[in-house]
Amino acid sequence: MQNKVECLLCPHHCKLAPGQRGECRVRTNVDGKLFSLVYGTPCSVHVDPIEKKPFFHILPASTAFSLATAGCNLHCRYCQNWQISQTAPEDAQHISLQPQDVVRQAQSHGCRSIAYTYSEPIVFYEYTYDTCVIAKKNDILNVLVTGGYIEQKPLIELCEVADAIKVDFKGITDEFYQKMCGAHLQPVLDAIKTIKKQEVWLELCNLIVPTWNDSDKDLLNLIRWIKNNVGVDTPLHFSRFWPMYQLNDLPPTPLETLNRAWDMAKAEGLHYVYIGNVPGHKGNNTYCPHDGKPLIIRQGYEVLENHINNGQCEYCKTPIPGIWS
Amino acid sequence: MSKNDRLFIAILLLSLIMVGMIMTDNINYANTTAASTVNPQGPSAARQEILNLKLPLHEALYWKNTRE
Amino acid sequence: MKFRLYLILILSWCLIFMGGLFINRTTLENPRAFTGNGYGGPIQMHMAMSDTGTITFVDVKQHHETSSYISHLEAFLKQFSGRPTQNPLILGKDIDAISGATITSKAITDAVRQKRDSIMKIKNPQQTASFQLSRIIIPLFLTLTAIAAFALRHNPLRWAVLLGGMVYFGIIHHSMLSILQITQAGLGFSPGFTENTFWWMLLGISFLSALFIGRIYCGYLCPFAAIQEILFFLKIRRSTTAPVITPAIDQQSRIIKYILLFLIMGLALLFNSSAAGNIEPFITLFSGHGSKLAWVFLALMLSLAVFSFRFWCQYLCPVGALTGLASIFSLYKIKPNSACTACGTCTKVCPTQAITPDAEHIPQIDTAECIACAKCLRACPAHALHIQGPGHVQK
Repeated sequence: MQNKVECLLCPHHCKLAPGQRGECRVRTNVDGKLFSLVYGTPCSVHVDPIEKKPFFHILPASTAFSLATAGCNLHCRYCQNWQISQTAPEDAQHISLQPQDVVRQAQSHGCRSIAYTYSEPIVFYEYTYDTCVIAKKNDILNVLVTGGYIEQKPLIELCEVADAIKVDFKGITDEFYQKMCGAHLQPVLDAIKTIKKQEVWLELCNLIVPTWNDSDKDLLNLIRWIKNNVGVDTPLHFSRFWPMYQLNDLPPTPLETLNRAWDMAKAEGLHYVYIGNVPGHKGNNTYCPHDGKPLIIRQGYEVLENHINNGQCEYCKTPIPGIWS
Repeated sequence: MSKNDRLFIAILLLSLIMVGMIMTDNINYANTTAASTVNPQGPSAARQEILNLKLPLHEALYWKNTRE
Repeated sequence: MKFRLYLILILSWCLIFMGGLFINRTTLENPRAFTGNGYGGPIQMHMAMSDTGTITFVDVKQHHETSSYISHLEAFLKQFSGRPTQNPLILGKDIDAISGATITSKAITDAVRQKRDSIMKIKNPQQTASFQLSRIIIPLFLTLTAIAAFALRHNPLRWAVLLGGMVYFGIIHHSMLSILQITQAGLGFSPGFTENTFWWMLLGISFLSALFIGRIYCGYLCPFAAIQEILFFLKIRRSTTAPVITPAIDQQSRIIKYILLFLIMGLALLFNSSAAGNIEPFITLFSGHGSKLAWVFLALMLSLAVFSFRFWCQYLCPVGALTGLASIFSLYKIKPNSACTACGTCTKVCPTQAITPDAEHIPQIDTAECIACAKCLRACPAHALHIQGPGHVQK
């Protein structure tokens, strides 16, 4: 009879014998107790424009104090951050930054938010949560960028201290999630709905991978699910795949595919559809759903113009959802 | 005490002061010794501290014991 | 210095030497952590690796090498980044050493290669350190010659050994007896015999000979001592090494080296690091590495050596203090026999003022201060001084 533990943080429900680590590589059983190996030890710390996350409806042109530890509970074959996500903490260079120091650093850099991003905040849950609590006390927003592969209970508790969550809505079929990420679709769908229900600001991002999830059918199903489950006011970002990690023989996503996706989403009635980082594309900007006027004009991560006043369209006073101040 | 005595003691004191300074330097240095860590994402704005060679254990939330 | 005082010092030192241990339960061994055997002590390192066995980087977390190495260390460690498993990682082959720090560089390279291989479970036929017989034979040869020179009171032979030791230990191998070895041993560190033969040979020779016949290492084998003596005798020829300071002050000042010894030991245990002991000027001189302050101190010691015979040795050297304490128990000591006329010649002639006449003007040799140079043995007009074992009866 062994001293095993079952981790209940994410749907993997890893059952660990003493000394074993979970799928995420950062949680381990020591003598019958589960420990996190990355509390307070981020391997990436950076000050980024919040548009980079991408969050387009939160404090435009502000900076986010961004951090991540090693590890991730998904193993997406295209991962852009695989050097830290698909690695154990002992194989990543990390620094010591306790939660209170994270907040202090964020303040000293004039960041209005702290972003838990790059790898996967779910796997450094305790660190994320404790830092969020302190940040909240200091009027700093907590924004998370996550794959959404988390159990309901920890998610609901996290929603109490998080201000905004961007979920990587990677695909709309379970087959995609299994083949591409080593996980399942349903928990992600549940997570997205829960975030909305908990009234945490939600933005979604879909990385379009040629031949994997770029068919009209898949895109339409994804868009429709969003419309039906979290509403047309939920921002949807389409992002471009670059050959990376284990998918090096696919081409980058063609611009026409991105355009097609954008057109489809607008046609289905989604109000805020974005394609970041394609110069000159309408997808860079935020438009008023009522009168169609461009409200925020962006170039890359830079905000050129902002016509949102008091959370409303400057011209027709339609309220625009988001956290504007 | 002759003149030479005074000179001798002065030199000894000087040596001891230097030894003390070297020792202090070495100890300070040893307490902060490490190679610098490089942020894989690029130059970091955060203050960088060096971790020791152990992995910190922090009690996790959301788990239970199982018997198998 | 009196015998009882020495005894107290020895016992206190032994107590300090037994250090403490801490067990910290809130951490886990880092599977990528490993240790190499540096010049000054263990080098604690950390290696990160990709899944395919390519080294991402190597970090040094703690070391006891001279602090002036650090700027070179970063560039040296960068060599390991990106190395795939096929690279042999051998110093001199695909890894370049830090100039003037071969021992450190080799220690790190060997440790990195062994760790890499053990992580990848590769059987590597390359042997890390080959057994070098010369590193046993030559030191032993020098030591035996030294003892012979002492017993035969042969000054030219003594100089031959001094110069030989300076060249062999100092110039060629940058390896001499250092207080760092003592602190390391106290902190529980000792390198493998094959990897660092000198570490063992130097400790063994110096302490065994001290327990046998006195401070042979100090008097014959220490490279820094050789340099100091050369400096002293290159100056204007003079007839005596007697100091021009009041004998009482001179004698009392000798306790400073014992204080330094205890201070270094205590600090080493307090900070769990040999760093406090890194004060020896000969390391700066023979390795060529040192902070600005260390070089200034070296210059001071060398200048003083011109005017004051072995200034460092007599008043400051912690190693000399320790070997001195060990020599209290030496089997063979210099003692006067019944032929002694109490003329006081030996007292005047001793270069380290180790001889004091007692109440009856019979010379008492302080073995802790004696460096076994045999000058007194040669100078005694009555041939009354001899190296005597325990069986001999005084007077």
